[in-house]
Amino acid sequence: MAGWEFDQFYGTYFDRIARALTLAGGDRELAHDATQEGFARALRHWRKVRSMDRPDSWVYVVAMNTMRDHWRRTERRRGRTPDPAVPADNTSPVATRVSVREAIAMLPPRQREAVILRYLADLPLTDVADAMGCAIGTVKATLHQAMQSMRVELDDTEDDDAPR
Amino acid sequence: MHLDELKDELTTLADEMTPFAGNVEALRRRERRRHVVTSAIAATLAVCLGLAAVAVIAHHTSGKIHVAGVPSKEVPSDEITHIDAIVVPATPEAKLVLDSSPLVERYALVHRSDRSSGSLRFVPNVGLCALQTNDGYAVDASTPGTDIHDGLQRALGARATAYDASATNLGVDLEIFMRVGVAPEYASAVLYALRRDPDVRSVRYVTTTDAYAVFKKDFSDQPALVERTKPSDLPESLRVILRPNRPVGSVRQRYAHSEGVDTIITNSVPTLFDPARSPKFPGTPVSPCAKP
Repeated sequence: MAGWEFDQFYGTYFDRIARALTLAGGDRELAHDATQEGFARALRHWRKVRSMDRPDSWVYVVAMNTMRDHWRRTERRRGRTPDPAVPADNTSPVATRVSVREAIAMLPPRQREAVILRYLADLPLTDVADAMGCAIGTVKATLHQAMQSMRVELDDTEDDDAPR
Repeated sequence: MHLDELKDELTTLADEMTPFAGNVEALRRRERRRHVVTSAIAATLAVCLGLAAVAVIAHHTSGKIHVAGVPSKEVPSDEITHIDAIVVPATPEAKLVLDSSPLVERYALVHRSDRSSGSLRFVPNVGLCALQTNDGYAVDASTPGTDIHDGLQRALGARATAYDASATNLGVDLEIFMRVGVAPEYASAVLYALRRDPDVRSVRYVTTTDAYAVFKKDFSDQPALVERTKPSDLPESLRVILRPNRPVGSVRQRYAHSEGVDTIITNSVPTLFDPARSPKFPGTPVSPCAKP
């Protein structure tokens, strides 16, 4: 039963998490391996992980930590150099779909990680902080800077960490 | 732009990506392999820890504790027949090195004492001087009569000092000294006989040049004496190690009257451990130890 449950969980979330991590880190292969590692650890601790409100959130955190360990070891920080195909100017007051995409690509790595984990993966701030290895306050500040940079209007409730 | 638009755009970006082909079976196989390997390592560690605990308990009951897995080579002093090196000071760290070194056959604790007089005067040695202020270990090499102190010193590092005793009469059962100036043929004749003697395990011929090198080292603190002495002033000798449990006295007797032989000195090991047993030779010059 537990085996079937895990397989279902893997089938539902593997692709989703790997895509998000690719956007966050800019390295498809690394994102794949880190996601696989995240699920491997989830399998080892499945009894604990399956009882969580958001088991996928746990995998995000483990996989992001795996990627960060890899960057630390190789000292190869991803995404520092923007994609040359993307124009550098993201200051236009009119944000079109294309310019939003450009703005995301131009974000500094830490801000992009925060944006992806928070607004694509939909992780609570505490898990974003765990995944990024920093304090919640730092996550909030990073997100705020990213939003300013992309000229995104935030709701008044955005700082809350309630499940959404 | 509103936040919802950003979220939509992020979702679109993710959806445009080539899908990831997950492989849950590969993941399970990998985890099974990892489980087998870690279980094997854990089992091995458990066995090692168990053996270590048993060894520690066994040695604790005999009043000694040392690192399990490396049996102690320390023996009572009366079991030591040759000393090839002296290690000072005697510490648990030095003991660990001696227990694990392949150069060491066995060793015994030597209590600190003044050994500058008595029969040990024949072996002026800085190691003996070091034993005036510290306990040490008398070490019997795996191959008796060999110079192991360099190798031991490398293993000991800064933990202790290894002194060479192989060139003294602590390292052999007998040392047969020829008369000074006698023709080398006499020593060769004795050497020939010793090599065929069933009681003798090994014999080393020490030329006047070899003897002078040791003399210079031992009396390096008395340059005037070294200056006055020439290699030809020193006797040749034959350093003899007997097979286990062979009677030293009768072997000594056998060669005492050989032509060209001056004196035969027997091993001073017992007096190293118990200086009070050493006969006194008042008035005999010795190499004094520096004040600690």
